[in-house]
Amino acid sequence: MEQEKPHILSFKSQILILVVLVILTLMAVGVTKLDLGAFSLAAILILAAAQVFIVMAYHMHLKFESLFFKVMVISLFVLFIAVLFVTLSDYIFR
Amino acid sequence: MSEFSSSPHQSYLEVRTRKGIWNWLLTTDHKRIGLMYLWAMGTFFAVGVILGLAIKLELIAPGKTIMGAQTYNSFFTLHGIIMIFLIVVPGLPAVFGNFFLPLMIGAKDVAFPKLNLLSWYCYMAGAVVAISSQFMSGHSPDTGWTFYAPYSFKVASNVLPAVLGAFILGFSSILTGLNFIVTMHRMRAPGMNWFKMPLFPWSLYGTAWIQLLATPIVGITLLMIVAERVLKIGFFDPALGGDPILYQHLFWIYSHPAVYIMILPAMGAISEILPTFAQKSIFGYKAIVVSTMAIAFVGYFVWGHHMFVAGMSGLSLWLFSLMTFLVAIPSAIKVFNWVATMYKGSLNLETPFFWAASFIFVFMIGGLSGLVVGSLATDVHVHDTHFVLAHFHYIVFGGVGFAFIGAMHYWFPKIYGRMYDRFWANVGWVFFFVGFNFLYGTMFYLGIMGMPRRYFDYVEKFHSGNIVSTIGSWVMAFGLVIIVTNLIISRRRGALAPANPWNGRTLEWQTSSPPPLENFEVEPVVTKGPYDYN
Amino acid sequence: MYSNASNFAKGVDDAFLLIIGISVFFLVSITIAMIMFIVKYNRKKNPVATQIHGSTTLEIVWTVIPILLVLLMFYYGWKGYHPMKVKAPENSLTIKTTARMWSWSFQYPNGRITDSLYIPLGKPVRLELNSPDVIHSLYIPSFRVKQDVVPGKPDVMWFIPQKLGRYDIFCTEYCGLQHSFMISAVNVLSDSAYNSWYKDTTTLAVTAKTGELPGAKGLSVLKKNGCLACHSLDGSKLVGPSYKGIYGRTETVVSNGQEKQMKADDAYITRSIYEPNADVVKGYAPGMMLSYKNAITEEEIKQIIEYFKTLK
Repeated sequence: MEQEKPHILSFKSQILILVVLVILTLMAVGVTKLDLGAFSLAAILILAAAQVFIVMAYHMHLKFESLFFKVMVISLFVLFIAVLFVTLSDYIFR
Repeated sequence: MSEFSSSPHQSYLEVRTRKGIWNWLLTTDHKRIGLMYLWAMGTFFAVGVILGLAIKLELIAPGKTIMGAQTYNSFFTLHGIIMIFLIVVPGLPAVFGNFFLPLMIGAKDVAFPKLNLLSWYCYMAGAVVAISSQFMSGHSPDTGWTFYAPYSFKVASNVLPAVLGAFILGFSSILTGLNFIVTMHRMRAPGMNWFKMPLFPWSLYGTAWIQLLATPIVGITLLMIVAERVLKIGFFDPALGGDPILYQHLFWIYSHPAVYIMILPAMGAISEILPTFAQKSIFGYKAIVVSTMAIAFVGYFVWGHHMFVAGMSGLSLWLFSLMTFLVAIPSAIKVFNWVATMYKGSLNLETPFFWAASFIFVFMIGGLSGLVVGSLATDVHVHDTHFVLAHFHYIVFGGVGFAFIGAMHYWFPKIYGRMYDRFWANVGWVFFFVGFNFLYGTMFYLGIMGMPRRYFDYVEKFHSGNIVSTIGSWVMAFGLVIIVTNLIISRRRGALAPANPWNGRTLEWQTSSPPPLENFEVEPVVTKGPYDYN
Repeated sequence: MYSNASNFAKGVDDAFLLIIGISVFFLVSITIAMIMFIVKYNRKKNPVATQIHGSTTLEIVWTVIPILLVLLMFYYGWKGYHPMKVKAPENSLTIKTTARMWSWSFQYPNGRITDSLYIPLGKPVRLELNSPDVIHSLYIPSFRVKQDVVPGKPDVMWFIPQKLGRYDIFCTEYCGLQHSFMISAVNVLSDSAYNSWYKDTTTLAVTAKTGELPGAKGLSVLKKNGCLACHSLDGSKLVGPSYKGIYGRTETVVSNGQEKQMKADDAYITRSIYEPNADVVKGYAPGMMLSYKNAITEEEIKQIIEYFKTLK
């Protein structure tokens, strides 16, 4: 088994991540003020997905893990989307 | 010997580091935790069996025999909850997985021993919540173990605690699964690469991934029920604008993979027993590994076959039926490889071998009848009838039960360092096997005739089939009593067992019986495949 | 097992025979192989095992053959099922079917309501399924048809009866206490017998005549809503209290966990129909009855009360 070296984020980059997350949150709030119709939901989801990505990459340390874990996490999302698709195939084509 | 002592030569059963019962309740030894699961499950199982016998006795004649409809409905609900959530889902991984996984890969313990103990407490807490939830609402538990909306929401308020119980139990599964995955990634003995790992650990590996990925769905369902109950957001209840079929989707997205959580370790145990008693390498090692992972993956996309007549869309019906047929392939491959393992072996006709061979027989019946319920046309006729009861009892009791009892007889000398009485073990097997087939075999016939399940009363034409089935249940219970009595007596009084009574090749047989606290006195080094008899 | 009682029976039975035939073949041949191996290669006869690790050819053979077989079985399953899901023919006889805890009711185009199904031979029948309470499932074993009746989601099923006779109808989705008593029957009549049954208005006439009698309308409301599945008219105890002598009787009821005496007057009876779990007569389980607010009007409750007054 390969040995990983411990990795600690610097204080500066921690602050940067926090700022980015806060800005994204404010943007999500701002989007609701604009009248985009059905697109406002899509916009909020895209912003939320960006936040999820940042949290997983940095706070959950995925950016610094081995390829194996990245593949596992990505395949988990693929599985989740597949399950969602199969469930929705019932509702859309009913 | 001082009161608290431990030396590397002592067996794990003799080690005392605390006072009395705390040696068990606070232990982090994977072997003792495995036995704690065994005792807890044995107790729950006894209750489940008694409920099952009472149900069969009630069905011996139409109309009221020994209990009223209300009692009957509560009995089959509790029977289902206990058997599914407390026994067959966690069964083999928790008992034999905990005990033998580290031994079989040459490790001292699992990766996180304290987490392992926490899993046991989660299991006990989940068991208490799941069972007591059924008595909380002041209404007797009669929703069936599936808690289908909206019946369960209308008549009883216990769905929330029941799903919470399933979630806590699922948490215990998640922790155990996580523990096993890390153990297998990190703690294999030197020289044991992935394809030198025995098949029981492989099956636990597949199982552990399903546990990790399927159980969160129970959590999602739980949250949705809370939102519906508290915030009145309609998800499932048509009175609030919800869709009862969504509940069935969510329930089976978890509960169908749970079937594979049950059966994969059972297949793994059979794959251990057969080579040892054939004194021969297993046939098609890699094919069995690949089919294990294929079942784990494809098993994820077949849940909809529980809902063929619920009013799903045409596309979904098509998709789910096809996937269900495809999941039969890896199971068939396993059966062929097991039978081929017997070919030109030197078959040692001991009790575990009989259980393994009869496992293949009942598992084939269960699996092949699964084709009938997986096919759209025939499922319309047999869905929710006794045919389905027969099918899944052949799989979860025939499959998991036979594998569990077989594994118990296989590993008993290693666990307790004693042999059981072989004559009575075989007698018990004969009664169990014969009774089992009369009990559940007749249900196929009843189902094709059209007798629905969960029926307290039935029309006269189903009478003769039910009499045969009920008598079968007595024969099977008699066999079970012989088996359990024999094992309990032999635990203390049986002849001392040697380290390797069956001439097995996997690592657990290379240490003393019972094993010392840290499993191996010298760390084993692996150079050959797991079933090398050359 | 070929019953051929409906137009779908053959497709289902064909799939059955194919799957069971293949299954029995594999079950028997593999079991025989196992027994032969046990006889031939046990330790006494064959003390030393021959080490065989596997065979790629065999693995491919026993992967490909089962795949072809299951695809064949899948196809026959689909073929037998597909006709059930196509739209019912235009000339179908449409019958409004209601499943409730724990009885069936069938309403014909002329307004007649029955608790068992009467249909003419050889004519397509289309059932419009509805449930006011929980999920039920309409199952006619001889016809090889089954469809869940999901509340809030009206569905249809159809079939053509092909044999005269009386066949069982079962509920196959667990729906509570009396689930196994939710049994009814299909009566397949010849065309002429059906027509005279259909036109037979004597029962309607009787209702019309006795309509003059106090309470007759109330009784038909009770029958229409399946009340008598749980409440007897003769004083015997079923799931709920008997209607015999109910009007004006003083009952001990449990309301919010408190016991109190209540007189069964107009207000009490209305409340018991609209909010059945508010005051439950002592000795009976709460939660067994659902509100009939959407099913029974206040006018109908007045008729029921008139009828109760006659049940001394």
